[in-house]
Amino acid sequence: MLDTGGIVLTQFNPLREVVSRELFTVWGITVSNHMFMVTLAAAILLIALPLAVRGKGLVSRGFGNLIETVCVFIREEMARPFLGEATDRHIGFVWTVFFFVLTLNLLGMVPLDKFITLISGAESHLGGIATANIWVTGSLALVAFFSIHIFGMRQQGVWGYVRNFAPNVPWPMVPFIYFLEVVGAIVKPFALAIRLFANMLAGHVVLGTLLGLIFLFKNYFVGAATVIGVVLMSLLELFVAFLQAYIFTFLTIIFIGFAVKPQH
Amino acid sequence: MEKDDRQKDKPQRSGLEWMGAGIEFCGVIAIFCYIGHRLDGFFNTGGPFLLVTGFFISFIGMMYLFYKESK
Repeated sequence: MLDTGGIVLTQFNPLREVVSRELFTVWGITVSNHMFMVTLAAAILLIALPLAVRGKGLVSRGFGNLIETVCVFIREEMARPFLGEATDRHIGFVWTVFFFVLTLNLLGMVPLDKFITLISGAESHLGGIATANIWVTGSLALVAFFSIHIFGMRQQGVWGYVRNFAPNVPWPMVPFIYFLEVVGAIVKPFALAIRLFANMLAGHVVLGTLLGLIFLFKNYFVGAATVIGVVLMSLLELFVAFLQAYIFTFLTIIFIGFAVKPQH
Repeated sequence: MEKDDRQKDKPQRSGLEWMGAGIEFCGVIAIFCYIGHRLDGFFNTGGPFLLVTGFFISFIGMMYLFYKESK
């Protein structure tokens, strides 16, 4: 740490915990910690969810019951008011989006790299918050973008979808409203990506900055206050992890609703 | 009474989805301006024409998106 006339320069960088880090290279492809976390989340979901819902009776128990409750909430409370009778046709995609984003957010709260460092003694980067990477949220938004338009075309046919792309307006307004709709369609995936990325990044940078205060002040009082602050912020981050998964899913449902129901 | 029923049929939406809407608005505009700036350099336009175009596209797009989401 350097103190240069009132300006404190420290080597602690709160962004250190959220930036993408190179792990290894396979067949010329560089694998980063965020790519690893995305793969880990997919693997966890592919293994855990089928195991959770596998049961002999009609009534699921334990973790399966929790998953079922969440699925029913998403289908009945979030999707059905917007998608109506088209709900069951698209609910598989909506469930996948919710559980994938939620798992990525929650995995970001697990200090996997720190555990490995504690056990092995060597510095590890096998961890991190993948949804605080704009390329990960951008990819998720791109998948949502293509799915929204494909669902719309499947529901109404390609010509029907193009014809109903904009709401009914007097004919002199048609070019303007089509322009607005095209601009809105381009902006949608960016809006989805930015919202998830910014919220997850901000929370983890705040956590990193709070922890940095310990290195900056190096006294017990600040240390104790910081630990309490970090615990409270972590609880808030846990809430934000669920909230952002909910919001991403909710907006995807709204956009699917615009595409599959022409009256929107 | 009929009006009440119509209100009840409307999807209930909480204010939670508006959390971070300001960040989203600014973030999208920043990204479009950046893309416009890079394209200005790539096409050698001699001025910030595509940057300004990016600003207007993102600004109009986000305003329209928020309007539709809130409807």
